[in-house]
Amino acid sequence: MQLDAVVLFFVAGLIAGVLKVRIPFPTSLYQSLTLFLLLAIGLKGGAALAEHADARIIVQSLLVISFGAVLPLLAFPLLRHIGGLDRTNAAAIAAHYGSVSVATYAVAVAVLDASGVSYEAYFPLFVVLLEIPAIIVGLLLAKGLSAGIANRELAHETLLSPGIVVMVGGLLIGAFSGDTLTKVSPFFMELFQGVLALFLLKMGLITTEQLGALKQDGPFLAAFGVFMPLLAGTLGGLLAHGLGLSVGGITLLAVLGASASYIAVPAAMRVALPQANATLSMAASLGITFPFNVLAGIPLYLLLAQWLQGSGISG
Amino acid sequence: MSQLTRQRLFISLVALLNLFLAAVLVLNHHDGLPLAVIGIVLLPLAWLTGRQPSVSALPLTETDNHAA
Repeated sequence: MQLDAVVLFFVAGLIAGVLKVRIPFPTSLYQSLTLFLLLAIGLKGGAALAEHADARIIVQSLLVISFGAVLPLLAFPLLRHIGGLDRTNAAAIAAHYGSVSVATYAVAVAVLDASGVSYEAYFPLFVVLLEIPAIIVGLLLAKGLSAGIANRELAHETLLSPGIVVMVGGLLIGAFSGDTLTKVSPFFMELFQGVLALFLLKMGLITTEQLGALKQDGPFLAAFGVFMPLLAGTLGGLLAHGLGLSVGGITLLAVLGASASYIAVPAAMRVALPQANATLSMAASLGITFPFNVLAGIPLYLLLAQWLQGSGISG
Repeated sequence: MSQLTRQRLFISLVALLNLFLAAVLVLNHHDGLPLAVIGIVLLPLAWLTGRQPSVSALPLTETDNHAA
């Protein structure tokens, strides 16, 4: 049995966290690694956009945005009617599950690269586009049409969150730098896998902290954190298949649908819905859904993509 | 149907879904172990539902300000 080296770093972090091993990992290093990954993904996507920009991408983008808006509408009734959560908390968690996790996306890209599966290189554009609609829908679910989306502070947190700005910046640099991108590509492209591995080691440690909170927050969220990625991943895969994307593209859109935000949306929700319990959202998205996607989901979405494309799922 | 029953049913269904997917993967010569473990872990959680407080009073978790 051969496991992906990058994913094994995450498992190592999980084990260290469970054993309460104090691995010195400065917060500033974690932030630097995140910054690197966002820029690298943005640069790569921007360069691809410059090469492949056409009307088809605009249509695909509109459908992907609609997809991001629909996901919270699927999560909300489950959280309300089965989970029994109040309207505010259900809406806040639903918003997390409509948005995306860049880390999960980065792992999926690493797995596809390692498997030699090609994908549409402009996917980082979809990552950026999927960040925002779920926040707006979540807010509407919590407060109705009087949600006050024009709130200046919320607009700042939503549209100008550091993650979005850095990634959009990378996209623009990648799109407009042309051949001069080769000056920085050895740093951003060739070190990508190593940086991702270090980042996932830290994510493993963080995940175990969130699992501790989940012990008190109920088994329902654990099941929800597993069910939602399966549902959203399947829908994302079907949408990508309908859009005519490649096996890699189907896998990545399934991953984007299946992943849940754990930093950008919490920042927006802190402003928009301060009364929501952030521990519930974080425990589900980071404690359950992130490890589920990394360890079980991504290979499953790849098999779904191969099956949808008619290559079957036989190994 | 009470809230508790709905939750237990939901958790059981998610557990069975994972076990089913694991079986499909194994039958097609793929690694179904992660999904099987998740399914097996979820089954007792259905029984535990309602026996623990559903909402904690833990402080909000602050995280780093990058990415998603």
